[in-house]
Amino acid sequence: MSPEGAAYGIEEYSKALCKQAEIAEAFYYGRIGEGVEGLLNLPEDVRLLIDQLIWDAAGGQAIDPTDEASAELIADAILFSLEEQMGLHAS
Amino acid sequence: MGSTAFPSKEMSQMASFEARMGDDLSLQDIEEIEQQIVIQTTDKTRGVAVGLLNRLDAKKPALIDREINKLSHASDLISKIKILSSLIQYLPPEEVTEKLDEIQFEASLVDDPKVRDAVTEQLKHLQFAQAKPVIHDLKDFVDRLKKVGHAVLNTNSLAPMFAALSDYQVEQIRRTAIAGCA
Repeated sequence: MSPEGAAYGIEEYSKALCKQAEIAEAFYYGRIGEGVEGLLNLPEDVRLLIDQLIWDAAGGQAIDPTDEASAELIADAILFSLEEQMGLHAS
Repeated sequence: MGSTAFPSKEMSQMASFEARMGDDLSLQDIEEIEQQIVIQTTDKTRGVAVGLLNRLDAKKPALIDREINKLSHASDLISKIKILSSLIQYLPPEEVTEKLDEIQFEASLVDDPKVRDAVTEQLKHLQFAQAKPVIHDLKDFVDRLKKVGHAVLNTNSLAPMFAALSDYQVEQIRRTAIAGCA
């Protein structure tokens, strides 16, 4: 990786993390349409991880994002994924 | 033999940080210098860096008091939010919540709907960060990444990135860079 490539990667990595925080905030405040659109635009591996986290947190039950508790559950799943991508869970 | 006659490039860098440590620093200045020190520290300069970081730490309590004083005397809500944002990491969460509630109450009294909406929007971001502290971690992390990016370009070397970030984070950056070039 060249220094220019690294600088570009750093910038894009920062943007991707901030974007996910914005999506989580949209769910947290009940802006479901904005949140869902944001989720759909995430890279597939990130989206799959978030799906799995939601599935686990909901105990395998279907959830209704318009329900306040479910929307917060989704926000928390996104933030957990964010922590993972920041390397906070890496050993 | 010659290597001991002149300070190394790394030590000169540490000396430049020390030169910036005057009495007129703000909390933001201190945070910036701290991040730069962390990024630029090598095995050779670790002892000096720890000393500088301790000295910067010692300056913080007085600056925090000064900012709290400024916050209580600020007249407009936007200034209050700005000051509180810089103080959040240094105040106990319950004190931050209390100050956010005060600002929210003041915002509800504002006649101009544009100002009220702008303040409410800013408050929402801060309240979200209060409810989900990882947002503070993210802000610090992104600030650090920005400085690492500048250091990488300025030195034309990957060394600052490897010094400041974990293997996992470097891998994330590498993957992001590759995905962007694909």
